[in-house]
Amino acid sequence: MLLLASTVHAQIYTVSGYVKEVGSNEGLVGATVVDKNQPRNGMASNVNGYYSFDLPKGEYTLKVSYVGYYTKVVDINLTKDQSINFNLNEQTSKLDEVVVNGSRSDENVSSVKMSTEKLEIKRIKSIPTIFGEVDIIKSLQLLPGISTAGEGTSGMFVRGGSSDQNLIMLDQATIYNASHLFGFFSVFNPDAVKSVEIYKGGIPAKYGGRISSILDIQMREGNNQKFVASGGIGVISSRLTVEVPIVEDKSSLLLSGRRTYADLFLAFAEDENIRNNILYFYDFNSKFNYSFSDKDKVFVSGYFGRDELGFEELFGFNWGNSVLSTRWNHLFKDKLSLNTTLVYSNFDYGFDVSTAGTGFNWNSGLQEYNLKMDFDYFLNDNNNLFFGANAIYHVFAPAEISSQNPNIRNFNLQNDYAVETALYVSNQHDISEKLSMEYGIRYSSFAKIGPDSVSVYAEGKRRSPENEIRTDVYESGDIVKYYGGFEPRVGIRYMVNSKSSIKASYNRMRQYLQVATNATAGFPTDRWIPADYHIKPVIGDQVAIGYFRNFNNNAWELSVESYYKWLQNVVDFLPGEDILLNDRIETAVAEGIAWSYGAEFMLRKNVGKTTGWLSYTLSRTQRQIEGVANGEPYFARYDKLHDLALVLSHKFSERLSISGNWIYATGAAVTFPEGRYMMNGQNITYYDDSKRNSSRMPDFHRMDLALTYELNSRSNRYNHEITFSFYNVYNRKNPFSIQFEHVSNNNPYYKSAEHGPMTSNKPAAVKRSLFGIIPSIAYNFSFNK
Amino acid sequence: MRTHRNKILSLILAILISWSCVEIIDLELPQSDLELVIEGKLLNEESLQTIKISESLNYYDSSELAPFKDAEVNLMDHQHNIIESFIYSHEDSLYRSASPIKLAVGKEYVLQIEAKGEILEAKGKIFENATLDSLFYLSAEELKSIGKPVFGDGYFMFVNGELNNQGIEYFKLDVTVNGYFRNGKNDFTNSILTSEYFGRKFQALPIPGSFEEEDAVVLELYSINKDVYQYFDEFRNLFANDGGVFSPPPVNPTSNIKNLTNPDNKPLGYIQFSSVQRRNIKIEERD
Repeated sequence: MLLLASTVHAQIYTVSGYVKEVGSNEGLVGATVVDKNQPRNGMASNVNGYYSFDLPKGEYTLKVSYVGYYTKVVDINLTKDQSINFNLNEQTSKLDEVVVNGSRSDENVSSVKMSTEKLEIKRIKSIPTIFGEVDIIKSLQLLPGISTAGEGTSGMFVRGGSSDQNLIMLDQATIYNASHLFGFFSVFNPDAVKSVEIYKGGIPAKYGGRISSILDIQMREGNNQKFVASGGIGVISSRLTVEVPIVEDKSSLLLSGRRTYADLFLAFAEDENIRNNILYFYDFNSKFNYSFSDKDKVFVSGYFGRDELGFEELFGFNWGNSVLSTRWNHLFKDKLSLNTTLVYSNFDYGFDVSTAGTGFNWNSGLQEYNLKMDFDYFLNDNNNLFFGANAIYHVFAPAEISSQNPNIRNFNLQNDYAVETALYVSNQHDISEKLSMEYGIRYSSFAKIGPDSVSVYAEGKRRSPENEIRTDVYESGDIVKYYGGFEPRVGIRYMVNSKSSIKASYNRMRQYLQVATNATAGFPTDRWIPADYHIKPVIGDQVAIGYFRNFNNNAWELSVESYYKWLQNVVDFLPGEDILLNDRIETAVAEGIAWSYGAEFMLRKNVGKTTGWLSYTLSRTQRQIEGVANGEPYFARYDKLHDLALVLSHKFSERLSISGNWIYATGAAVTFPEGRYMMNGQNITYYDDSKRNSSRMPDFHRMDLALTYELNSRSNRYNHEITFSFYNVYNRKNPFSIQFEHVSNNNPYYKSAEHGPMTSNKPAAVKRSLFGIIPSIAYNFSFNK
Repeated sequence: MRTHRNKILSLILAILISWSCVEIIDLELPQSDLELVIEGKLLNEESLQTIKISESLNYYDSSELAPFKDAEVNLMDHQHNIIESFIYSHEDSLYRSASPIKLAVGKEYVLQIEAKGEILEAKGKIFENATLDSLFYLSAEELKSIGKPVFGDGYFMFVNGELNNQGIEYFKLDVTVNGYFRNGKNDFTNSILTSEYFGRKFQALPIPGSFEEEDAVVLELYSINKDVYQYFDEFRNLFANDGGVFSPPPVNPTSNIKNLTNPDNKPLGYIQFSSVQRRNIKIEERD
C-alpha cells in the first residue's frame, strides 16, 4: 500500500510561472490559469503575477485569461514539474468584437471574493471628470456601496463607514491623506497606476487596520523592454511619465510627474485677495524593479506629493505625503513564495504666518514604519494557504508651534508613539466543485508606548480637568495601554450552476487610529489620534450575502449583495471642545455605536463596443453616541437611502469613443435650524440639540460626458488623442451647502454700493452650488522607441 | 492661534469655491417651541446694570424678538444673598438694576432668573483686567518697510501690556470707530481672545482690524470667565458653520446659564461678569 501511495504521489506535478503583459512585461495580478476541461484545477495569479498549482501527470489544455486581455490557450504534456510563463496581449478596440464571442473570465461568479471591486485603469481614464482630471477615488465613488460626502470631495464612505475607516495603500504604503486641494482631486496620478482594487467586505485576513475598506492601488513597474514616454496636457494640470528599461527583461525604471497650474489662472481674477495667491499641487511617482532571477525580484517605489498655498508674504500653508516602499519577492520553491515589504509613510503639514505681532510657524506630521511579510503557499489542488506578519511603528507629532515673536510662546503638543502588530493565516479551500471557502484569522495588537503622561479621572465622572485625580508618567518604551484581539474572516461560495453562484462572508476588523474631526470631509489639518489609555479601538463586524450571475458567455455580470455592519467604540467629538491643540483629547471624546445596512445592485458589461455598468445602493447608516443628540440614534451625514450611478462607454469607430455617467443620490442628512434669535447684535440660528441630521439636503443628480478622438492609429510609435469633456452637462445646481442668513433686497449678492438702498432684510435659506457646466479639453500622448 | 488657522483655512476654502453661485431657495424648516433668550453684561463700573430677556422666533419670522416681561431677576453674592433686584423697563425692554451698582474685582456673583416657572442661574467672577501700558499705530507701508506685512491698507494698532492673573485668561475686545460699534461677523470672531499661547507680557500685540486717518477709536477690553469665553468660541464656530461638508453639525453654543428646575431645558444666551477698561485714541496723519 505504501508503495502504491508513493507511486500515485510521484505522479502529481506542479505547473507554475508568471502571467505578464506583452510589451511592458509587467506581471498581471488576478489572471486565472486553469485546466480548460476541468476549470476547478487552476488558480488566480498573485500580486506578482505568479501562479502555481498541481496536476496529475498527463496532457492538458491550459487557459489563461484576464479581464481586458486576450485569452491564451496552451497545450502541455505534464511529465515533470513545469514552469510556464504566459504573456497576454491587451485587447485593442479593433478586436473587441472577436472577444465578445470568445472565452472570458467568470471570476465574478466563480471566485470566493465578494464585496470587492476591481477597476481597470483604462476604464478609470475613460470616465468623464471635472476639468478632465482623471481621478481614481472619484471613479470608485461610482461603484455600489461607495459614496461621496459631496460634490468636489474625494473622501470615500464605504458601506456606512467614515472616510478615516478606509486603508488606502499605494504599493502597500499607507496614504494618510489622499486628496489635493481639500479633496477636489485625489493624489493618485493615473499614469503611474497599474491596478485598483477595493474590498468593502469579505476582507481577507491579510488585511487589517481599518474597519470599512481596503483600497489596494498598485503602481506600474515600467516597461523593461523598450523606452516609453506618455503624458497629457489638461486644463489645470499636465503629466509626464517615462519608462526606461535598465536591463532588458530584468529591470526597469518608471518616473511619473504631475503638476497643476491653477495658480496661473488666479492672476486673472478680479478680486485682489484671490489674485495674489499661490495655489498648486504636484505629484511625483517612481518605481524601480530588478529581477535577479525567476525566484527573486526587488521593487522600490516612491511617491511624493505636495500642495502649496500662500497669500503674498503673509502666510504659507503646505501639506503632503511622502512614501517609500521596498518589496522583495522570493520564491522558495514552486509552491511557496514570500513578499517582504518595508514601508515608510509620512504625512505632514505646516503653516507659516508672518503677520505683524502674531507671526508663527506651525508644523504637524505623522510617520509610519511598516514591515510586512506575506507568504503564499500552494498546498495542493484544493488549498492555497496565506500567512504572514506585520509590524508598524507609529509616530504622531500633532503640533509644534514656534515663533520669533515674544508675544507667542513656543508650544509642543505631546507626541504619541505606538506599535501595531498582526499575525494572520487563511486558507482558500475548494471543498467540492460547487463549494469553495476562504477562511482565516488575524490577531492584531496595538501598544501605545511612552514617553507619555496620562491624566486619570475620577471613576464614573466626566473626563475633564476638574475631575483629574492623578497624572501617570511613562518613560520612553513603557507600555501605556495594550489592546489586542482576534479578527475572524470567512467567505463562502456555492456554485448554483456554471453561470451563477451564491456567496456569503463575515469579517471582524479592528481599527486603532482615527481622525479627530466632526466634519464630514477632511481638512489636511485633521489630527490622527491613536487608541490610548482612554480611547478604545473601534471594532467592526460585517456580514454580507450575495447572488452573482453572468450572462451571454460572461459578457454581462450581475451581482446583488446585502450587508449589515455594526461598530463598537465609535467616537464623536463633543461640540465646543478643542480637538486640534488639545493635550487631553479624551476630554473631547464621546463614545458609542454605529450600524449600517443595505443592498447593492451591480450590472456590468465589460466587453463589446458598449461597456459600462449600472450600480444602485439602498442603504441606511446610523450612530448612537452618549452626549450627542440626547443619546438618541441619528443619521450619519453621508447616509443616503438611494445612490445610483450609470457609467457607459461606446466606441463608434476604432478612433472615436464617447463616455458618460449619470449620478443620482438622496440628499445628505443635515441639521437645519428650528428658529432664530439675536445675540451680540447678530442674528443667529437656533437648533434642537436633541436632533442631529434629521433634515435632508435636496437630492443630487448630474450627468457628465466625454468624447475622445484618437488622432492616429494605435500601431504607430507615437500615439495621441484628444478628449473633450463636459462636467454637469445639464448645469444642475446641486447644493454644496445651505446657509441660513439675512438677505437684503431678496438678493444674496446684495451690496449697497452696487444695488442701491436696502428695501428689505429678511431671514432666508441660501443654497451654494459649486459647479455648473464645466467644459474642458485634454491632449494625451504616448511614445515608444 | 486657532483663530489664525481657521481664518487661513476659511480664506483658502473661499478661494477654492470662489466660482460657486448662490441663490435663495424655498425650504421648509422644522419649528420648535419658543425658547428664552438671555443676554447680560455685569461690570465693575458704577452703572445701571442690564439684562435682556426675550424669546426666539421661527426662522422665517422677520419681526423683532419679543421681550419677555414676566421674569424675576436678582443679583446675589456667592452665598446666594440678594444684592440687587432688577426691574423690567418698558422704555428699552431691559431688566435694570434698581440703582447704579458696581461689581467688585475678585468677587464671585450669582445672577438668578425666575421665568416660566423655572429657576435659571449663572455664576461668575470679576477678574482683574490686563494692564495696557501703551497703544500705538503704524501704517501698512511702515509695517512693510520693517518686514511686518499685514492684510489690507490703512493703519494698524498695537498694544503693550501685561496680564495680571495666574493661569489662562480670557477677554473680549470691543472696538468702536467714530461712534460705530464694529460688530460684523469678522469683528466678533476677532474680538474673542485667550492668553493660552501668549506670554505674561505682550509687546506690539495687534488690535484686530485696520483704521483710517481721523478715526476716533474706542477700545473696551473686558475680562471674561472661561465658560463665557467657551460660549463665545462656540458662537463664532456657529457663525462660521456653512452647513457644508467641511463644517461639523451645527449646535447651540453652551450657555453658562443653568436651568436648576429642568436641567435639560437650557436657555439660549449668556451672562457675562467682567471688569472693563477703556482707551480712546485718534488716528492722526503721519509725516
